[in-house]
Amino acid sequence: MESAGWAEGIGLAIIPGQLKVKVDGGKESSEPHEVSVQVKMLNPADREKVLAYLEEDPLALYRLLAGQDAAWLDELAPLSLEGETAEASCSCGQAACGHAAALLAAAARQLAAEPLQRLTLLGLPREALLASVFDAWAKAAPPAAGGAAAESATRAKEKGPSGPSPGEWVAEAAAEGRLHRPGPQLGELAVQLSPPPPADQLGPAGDWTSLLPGVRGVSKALGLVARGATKQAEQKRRSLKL
Amino acid sequence: MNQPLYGVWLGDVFFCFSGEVSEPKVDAWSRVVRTFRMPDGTRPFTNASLRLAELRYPAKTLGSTSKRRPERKTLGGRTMEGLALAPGDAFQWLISMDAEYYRSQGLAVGEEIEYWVQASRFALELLLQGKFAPGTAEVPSVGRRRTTMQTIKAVWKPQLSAEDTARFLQLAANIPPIAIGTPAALAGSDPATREEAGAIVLYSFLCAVIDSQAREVVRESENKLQAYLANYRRGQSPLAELWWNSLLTASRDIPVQGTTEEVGELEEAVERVGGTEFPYISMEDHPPGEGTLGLGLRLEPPLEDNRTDWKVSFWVRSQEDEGLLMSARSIWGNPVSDQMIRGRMYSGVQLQLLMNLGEAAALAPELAEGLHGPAPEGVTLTLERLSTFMKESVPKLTANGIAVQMPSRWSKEGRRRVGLSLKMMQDARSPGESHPLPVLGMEHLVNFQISAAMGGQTLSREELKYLAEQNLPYVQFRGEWVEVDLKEINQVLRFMKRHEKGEMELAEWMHLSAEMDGERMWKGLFIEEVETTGLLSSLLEGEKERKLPSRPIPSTLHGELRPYQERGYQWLSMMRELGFGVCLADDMGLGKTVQVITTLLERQRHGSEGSPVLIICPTSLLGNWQRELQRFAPDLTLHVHHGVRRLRGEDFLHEASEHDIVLTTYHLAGRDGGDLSAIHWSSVVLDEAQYIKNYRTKQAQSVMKLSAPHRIAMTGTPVENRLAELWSIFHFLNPGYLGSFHSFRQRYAPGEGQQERLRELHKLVSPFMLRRLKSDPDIRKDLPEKLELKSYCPLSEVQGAMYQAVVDEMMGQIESQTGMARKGLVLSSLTKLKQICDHPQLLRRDEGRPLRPDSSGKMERMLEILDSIADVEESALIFTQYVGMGELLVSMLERKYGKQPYFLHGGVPKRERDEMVRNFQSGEGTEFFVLSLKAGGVGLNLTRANHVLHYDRWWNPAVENQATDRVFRIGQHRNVQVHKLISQGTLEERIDELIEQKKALSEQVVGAGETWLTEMSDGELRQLIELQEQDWM
Repeated sequence: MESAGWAEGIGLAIIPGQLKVKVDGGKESSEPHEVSVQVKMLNPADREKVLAYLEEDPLALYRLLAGQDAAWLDELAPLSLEGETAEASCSCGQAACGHAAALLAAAARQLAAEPLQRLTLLGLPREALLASVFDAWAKAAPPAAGGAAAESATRAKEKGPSGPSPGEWVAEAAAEGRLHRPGPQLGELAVQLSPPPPADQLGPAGDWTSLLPGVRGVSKALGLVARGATKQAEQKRRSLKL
Repeated sequence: MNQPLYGVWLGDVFFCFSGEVSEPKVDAWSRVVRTFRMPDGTRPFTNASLRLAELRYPAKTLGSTSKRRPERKTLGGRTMEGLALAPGDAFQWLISMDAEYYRSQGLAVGEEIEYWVQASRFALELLLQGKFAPGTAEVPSVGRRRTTMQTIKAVWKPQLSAEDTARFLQLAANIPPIAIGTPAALAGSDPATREEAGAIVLYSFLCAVIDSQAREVVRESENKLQAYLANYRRGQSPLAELWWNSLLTASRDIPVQGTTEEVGELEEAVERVGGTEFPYISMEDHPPGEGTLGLGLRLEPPLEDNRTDWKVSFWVRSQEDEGLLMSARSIWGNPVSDQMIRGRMYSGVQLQLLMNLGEAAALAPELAEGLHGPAPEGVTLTLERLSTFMKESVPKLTANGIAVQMPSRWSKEGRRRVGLSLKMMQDARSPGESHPLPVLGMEHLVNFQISAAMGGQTLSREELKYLAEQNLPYVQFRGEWVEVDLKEINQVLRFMKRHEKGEMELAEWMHLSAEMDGERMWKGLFIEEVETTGLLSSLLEGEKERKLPSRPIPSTLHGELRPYQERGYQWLSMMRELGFGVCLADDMGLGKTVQVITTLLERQRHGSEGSPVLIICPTSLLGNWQRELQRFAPDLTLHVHHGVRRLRGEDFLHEASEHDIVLTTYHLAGRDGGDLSAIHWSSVVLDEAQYIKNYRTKQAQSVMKLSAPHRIAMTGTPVENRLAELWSIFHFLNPGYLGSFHSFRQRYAPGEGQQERLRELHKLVSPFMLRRLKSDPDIRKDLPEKLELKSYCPLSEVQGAMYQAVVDEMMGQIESQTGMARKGLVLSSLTKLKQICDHPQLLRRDEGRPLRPDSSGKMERMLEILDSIADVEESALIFTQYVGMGELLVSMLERKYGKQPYFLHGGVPKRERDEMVRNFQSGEGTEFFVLSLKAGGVGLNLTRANHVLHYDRWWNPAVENQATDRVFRIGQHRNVQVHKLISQGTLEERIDELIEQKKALSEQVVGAGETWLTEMSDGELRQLIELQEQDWM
């Protein structure tokens, strides 16, 4: 049996109902070939069970999405990749090649690492899963009936998609006591204060000469100003306590 | 105290202000800022100009209480006054900003300054990289009608690459709200969003900064740049050349004017070449920014009374938009996964919320429980779990940027203190008891009930137990949730288990009562309230004059009490019976002596137990006391302990015990302290108690050592304002009540909190002091308009000797004289005697000898009286018959009070007289005015004075009254006190008696002159002038 190292990270695709992998030729054959294994997906009833479980357990959903273990899957969505080779097909043309088995082994490892993928394989990909659960929640959440929830929900609608006008925003900030406060991402602004580039690389950019055809030495004049300004700026930079 | 320093960009200047609107405050702030010095000595605001700016600023700085529904209206504009920095100066200031340094110097720069610092650094980066280019800027047309001409100017602008633009936009998006509340900076534009407004303001700032820096270079290099100017000819050369010249000329302003079309073309071309377009695309073309959601938690107390479970509810916030707050329900309830909220696009909102919740649950296991069931909105916690949540989970959550909102009531009111409430119990007395007053002095043990109390309300046992059982820092109490201190509760509970009642000495009770709310502690527990009941409460509350069981005035009193004196007597007697030492501090002239005498009489009536009363007074008042006792209580036997021949030792003890009252002086209280302290007095009375104000003197210490269960201190001074005096007096009255002098002085020393502590002191002493003023309307109505006070002054040794000599001489010669000679002898002798009584110097004429007050008893007494008058800032007229005496008085008073008083006598010319009167009346000059008795005449108005002092007497009361009336006139609104000095044991005393006896007939008796004297027989004369018992004899 060949080592199945080649299956990892080379295009192993886990899609609903199928595992497949494209392999470059490698040692054996010169052509790339594709291995795929069909997997039986969840029947609607079982699918419902899985969804129902997740609807009832947001924490489990989180854990699933965060890639943490999900023991409950074994019960509700068991998957055994043993002996699935019957549904395997390999385009390498060899009969009884171990590619499928290798694929299964690799897949098993991946699935163990990412339980969510199992559901994908079983016909419940992430997007569909989330859409279904959130839809169910939307129906389950009681309609806003007065109180703080309604207040802020309506507030969100009031401000609508466009947000508060500048004046309203200022008034809002004043009311909330943050009139003087810069936005939260001010600290993320990256400013690089380094010495100026050599004079010949200084700007300003632009075809000024063409704007002023009747004037001689446009670039020189501009260069003079640029040099002077950068020199001044450099003096300031040096004087800073950095 | 830190003053704020705020700043905004106004479009042309950086405007710094304080947020204040009141002119004086702004002026003060401006001074501070203008003179502010950096460590290197430079003053950043030297060149700042005064500026008025219209800003959107709140009326008063709002606190950080978040309102759930902010006003939809915009914030009104206000005109603020401040200091404006030109762009170049502002750039330098911001680049080198050191907020810490400013704070250390008392200026707190606003949060927004950090933003402008970053903006300036961004500008510096652009300058360092040469990323700026020539550009144009519009010059607003000045009024009038629209013309076809337009003016622009040449400016230098930033040249932003795509990456620079991205950073610019990010910076613009984080602009502090206050910065776009500047109509001036946004003039001419109508931004649809706050991001756009931010970009406009920021760009304006960057342009101004860059232009200022470039322009400086142009200015410096102008000569060199001359070579590159265009040869511009109007009408021929393209407008661009004019613009170019303007760009390179800093020494003068070259306006670039052309038709609208020309100008528009030029602007476009320049912008294109230089790449200096405004780096903002409005909403329609620009995809909305993305947003990220964060998690917020709220603690909600149970809604219904009988529920105890709290809820931690889930909320959604935005990292970019601080105003966003939505409940989890609203997120779950809307299945749309990508939502535009307040101008920002949030993708996968439900997923974002779910992931945030999951992460939070990892930090706080309590939250994990809430993540069950569809659409989780929150988690319910029992009180117990809430406590753990608060103590352990909340800190972790907050550290990870998850805001946890607390119920507002807790932070507002803070923790409630649990303590004790003490209520005095009435002494159980059987109804048949005749003695209604059980209290006996400061050591009396007060019995009181103890109950638990919190926040001003009493807690029942059950409630207290309930609080303790909850064992949580948050409990529901009487319908609301409060925060408590468990340790305190348990302490109180433990204490209450053992004590339902307690007792303590009254002195301690008084101290506890007087202490300020919030500071009372007893046995390590906080005392909420101290309730005094019954008789004591009416006494201690200061309602001295009401609710007192009244007692009859002793029939042994010879005389009438004025109503307020009667009240004083009631109070004195009752306090004596209750066992308290008290201080009678009525104003001078209200009759303290008679009130005390009445009390002594009353005491005597109840059985004196054989112990005498000791009265201590200043030497000059001995005579007074004798007279008053004689007058009001002739039934009381009196022994005067004074003089060279006074009794000592055993003799004294024996004599004292044989009398009701022993009278002595402070001086002798010191000298004969041993004798005095050997006797158990029934009461000790101190007159003019301020004599012991210095507790270290021998006198004071001897007085303190006297043994008596009851004490009275009398004083006319406002004792409560003189702390040392107050302490000494109370140390005498109720030893230990005010603690040691050292601790007393420390406690009430001037400094912070002195006002409150003095109030405390007042509460402690006022129950034991009675002070009425002449000016009290209640008192005034009981006072005669003219209050006559006689002072009996003893003669000094010198006076006595001289007096006796004259008496002997006269009596020796009188028998042999008749007719005119006799008359002459009598008159001259009597005059000499009077003068001796006034002051020996009148006769002796010892020029060059220093004038001694103690040579004359009257002089001494007069000075004491004048001291009291000066103390209360009143004014007095002093009358004397003798000009010589007047002169002595003037020099004495000048020596004593530092100012020479006016002296009006017959020899004073009218003009001078009028001036004296005028000055005196207007309040200038001294408080004392000396007059000879017959001076002046009609038209003398001296109503400024409300005291009249007759240093010597004219034997015609009509003349005296006329003198008095100079003061007592229409216009005089105050009661007048008339002091008459009488030398004790001399003819003055006897003549006074005669006048008193025959007041109605005095006119007839004394006639117009002194003829009636001369018509007396020898025997009568002798009786008249005989020197009665004197100490020195």
